[in-house]
Amino acid sequence: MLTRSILKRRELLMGLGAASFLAIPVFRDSLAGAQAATFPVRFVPIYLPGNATNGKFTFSGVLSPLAAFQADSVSLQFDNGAAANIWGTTSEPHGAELRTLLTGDSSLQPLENASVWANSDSIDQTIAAKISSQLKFTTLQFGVVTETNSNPLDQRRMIIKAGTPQPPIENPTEMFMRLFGNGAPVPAPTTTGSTPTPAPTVDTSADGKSMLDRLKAEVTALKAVAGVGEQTKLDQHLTSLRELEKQVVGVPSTGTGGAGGGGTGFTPGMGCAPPTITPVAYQQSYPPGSGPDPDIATVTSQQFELLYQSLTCDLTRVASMQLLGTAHTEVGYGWLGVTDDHHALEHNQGDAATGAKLDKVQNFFAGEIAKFLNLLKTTPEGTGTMLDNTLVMFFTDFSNAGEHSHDQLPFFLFGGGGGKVRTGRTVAYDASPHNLLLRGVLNVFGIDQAKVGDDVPGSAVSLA
Amino acid sequence: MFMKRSYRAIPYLGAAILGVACSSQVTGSHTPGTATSPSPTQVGTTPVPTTTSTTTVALPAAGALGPLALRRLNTVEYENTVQDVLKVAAGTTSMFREDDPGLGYKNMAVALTVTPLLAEQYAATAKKLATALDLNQFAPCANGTPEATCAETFIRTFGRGVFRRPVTTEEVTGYGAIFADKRTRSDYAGGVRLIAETMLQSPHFLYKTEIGDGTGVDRALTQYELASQISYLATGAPPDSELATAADGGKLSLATEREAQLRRLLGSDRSKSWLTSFVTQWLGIADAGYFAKDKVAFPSYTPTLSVAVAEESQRFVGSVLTQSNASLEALFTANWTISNAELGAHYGLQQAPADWQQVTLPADQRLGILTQSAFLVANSKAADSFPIRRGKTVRTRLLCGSVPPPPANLKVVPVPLDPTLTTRERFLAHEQSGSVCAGCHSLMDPLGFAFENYDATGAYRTSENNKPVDATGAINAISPEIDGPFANALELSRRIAPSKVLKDCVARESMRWAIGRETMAEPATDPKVLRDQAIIGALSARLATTNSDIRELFLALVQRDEFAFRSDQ
Repeated sequence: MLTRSILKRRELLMGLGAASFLAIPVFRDSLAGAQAATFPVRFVPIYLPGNATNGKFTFSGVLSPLAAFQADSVSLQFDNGAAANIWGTTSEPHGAELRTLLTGDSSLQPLENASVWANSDSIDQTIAAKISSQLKFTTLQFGVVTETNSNPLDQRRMIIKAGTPQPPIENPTEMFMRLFGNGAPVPAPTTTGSTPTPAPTVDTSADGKSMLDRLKAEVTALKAVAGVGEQTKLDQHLTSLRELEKQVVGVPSTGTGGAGGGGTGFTPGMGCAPPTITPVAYQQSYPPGSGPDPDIATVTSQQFELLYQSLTCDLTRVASMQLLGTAHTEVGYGWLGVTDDHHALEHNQGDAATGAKLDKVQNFFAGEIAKFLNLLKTTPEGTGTMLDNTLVMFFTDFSNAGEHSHDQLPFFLFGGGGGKVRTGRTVAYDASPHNLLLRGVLNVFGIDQAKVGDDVPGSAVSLA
Repeated sequence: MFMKRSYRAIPYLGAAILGVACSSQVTGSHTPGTATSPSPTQVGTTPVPTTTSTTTVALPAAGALGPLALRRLNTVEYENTVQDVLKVAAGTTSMFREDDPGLGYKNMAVALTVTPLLAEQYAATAKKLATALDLNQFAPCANGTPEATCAETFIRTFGRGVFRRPVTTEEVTGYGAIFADKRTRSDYAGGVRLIAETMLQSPHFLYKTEIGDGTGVDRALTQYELASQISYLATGAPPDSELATAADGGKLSLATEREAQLRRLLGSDRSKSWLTSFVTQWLGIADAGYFAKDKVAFPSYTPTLSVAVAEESQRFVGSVLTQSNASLEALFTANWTISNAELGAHYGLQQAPADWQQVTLPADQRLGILTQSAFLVANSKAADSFPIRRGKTVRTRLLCGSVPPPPANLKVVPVPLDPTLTTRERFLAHEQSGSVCAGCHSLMDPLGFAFENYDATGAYRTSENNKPVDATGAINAISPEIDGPFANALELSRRIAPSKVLKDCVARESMRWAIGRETMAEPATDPKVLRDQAIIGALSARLATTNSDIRELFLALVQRDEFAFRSDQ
């Protein structure tokens, strides 16, 4: 279990100055007298590339840390020999997966080659629009070293809103400032390019309102004179300003999340004590020769802790975690004794020693996911736990990365989804594309769509 | 709203070869009323002041250059703009996420949107810049002058720089109201800083507009829009005072004036680095310094060498671009490069060069940019020279040829490395007659084999796994002008360098980069296609009459009558 003592709260507070301590909103245990409360449902997709277990996500081997949560899980069990393959071809290079996994849209072309992406949303964005739009952040995107520069951008982008890829935040310090910074001074950068962005202040909300009213009016006015082709772009701009407004001016209310958010009589819970983190050296990119590899172990652990806190503090109800990019290269895993890059490990040509190294890396990340699940499971909510009210979806890009195979692509779901998901079982899955699973996940949040991405015949996978 | 069907029809990869019936017209659904004339009470819609007397737009016979557009400043343009306007040091944008590319370029209008994260970063940056603004310089207020008057002066002067045009009456009022409101809670400085913070997030700062005066279907760009078009095209930076004066004087409607201004700006250092970014993005080598290679196979490919590889090409392209004749042909056939000692050793030069010295290359080994490590490294795998990717890049990006996508349900098993075979031998299966692979791979592999004399790091080799390297190949199905066999990469480079195919291709690519949109190729009878193809033809023809001077592509473009017009369609 991740303990907060690891995160050296005092050091950061010293770095931020005493004033920031006062500025951090600390919610006390607030469940007393809240027996009648209902709790909000949350959605957390987690991605890890290069599963090398040939379609068998099992609770043993590299994923053994997750065995403790078998009773809280639903795993998709494939019919023997059936291929759950959303792509018409298995010859796609790395990259098609990231843009297709959560959108179900196999028509999206490599970003570099395309002059426009289709107008797709990943399902987390669809869910967030319903349950999280009235919170400080409609969604949050967390990442761990996804942005290495030799990867084309389309091998790094998983979350898509209206055809626009939404990049994750990878630097825990930057994410911390965004979540809890409250205008506090930013710690000095520990290495080139690592200056965090301070979160916009909330204590000048009159300024913020004045500013944002003007900006929204300008964009709206520009829409009236701009071309037909730019209307969507300006709509996106307005959406972004409204999102900014929630941070600068404040959210309209707490506890409801959105029209379908649920959670009544609920106050952000007992787990909400914003962690502090020790800033780690972090760059936007890691070209060769640019400096030491990031401390991936620390970054991963801090990012999961922040993700957990963003949920317990009810700053958002939909947060994704992208661990690495597909075809991730360049950064090694020195603390595991593995210095090869992930992509090279995936293409191990059946070499046992190389395969064992990949297993070590995957096992590490499985352990971090297990720690996160444990945080949810040990946070009480009513008579149950936070995990009961959350749906965590864990997935990968290839069933056999070495052969770029998507056959029998494994998916795992954890958590009760607010009582909508019957856990501790496997669900038989035929050869249908995973679009039906995406529809099933939407159903958990009360969203019924005839299709997600590609128009795939069949019924949504029932998770109930 | 882009429909999937239209998206799929964009003929980037091989639609023509596949015989796919294409409509390359990206259709948009026009929300009723969105393009009607603005109500005078709406914020910011007061027509931008223009010094020309063109109340009626006389669309030239050639038509408009393209649709009305808003191009968000990309990271480099944003950085340059705040440096110039706010007089701040470099580094403002070090936190920004990398811009999403389109068609390989990081300045395509359609890809440059304002995401929620970017809006936050803009907000944080605007606050930082506004807080640090030297008010003695930017917003002085002499004793006795009413504060509101000083604030209005600030709105006009600061707004002129940030918006790259005079502010409108409405903007003076609107920002004046922000000042007055803030002044109830703060002092003069606080009010001025809030104006600056807001302006630095304004769409009129963030977007280069191509919307004219905001009325009508066919619209002339304003003088200030033209000035920005010219300036950002030349340097990625806002108009300088000379260009601003020309705009004030209404001179930029004249093609000759546009050409003269662009020619002047193309001589600057900033232009050299900006045009270098076009060439390196075109060739796909802009990120060549970021490719790690297999540490076991290539222990000598060190991090410093990797950085040097990228720097070589940057310097080489910059040097070509600033010669009296910035020759496209020289780009591909120069017998020299610019090297440091480590790179010199990598290239097997007899004498180690001093840091970044011009050197002559071994005549039988290297010639031009395609034989530089940047191109070779960026188009190979970690341990493998990967002729498919090298060939595909030459075909699609340099020769504007196409390659159909792989057939559905193709099962690809990567060809394993084999210590008894050459790379070429490993890919022989593609060539076997009757193979389903041959149809497409004959378009790529024989082009890529030209580079078999260079390994995955770009080092020269004549043997691989103790077998002699065979670097012969062929250009297939591009054009009779250049199709046919060749002996190696040097012969390939010599063949394509003077060709019309290359000129036509770079003309198309330069147009895409310059105007930030896809050029249209189908259907052939569409008037917009005819327009784009006519412009591409004119740019290519300009190369033919100027010893293939790359800068002439842009000079020819701004001289076009279409350049000053856009259409709401």
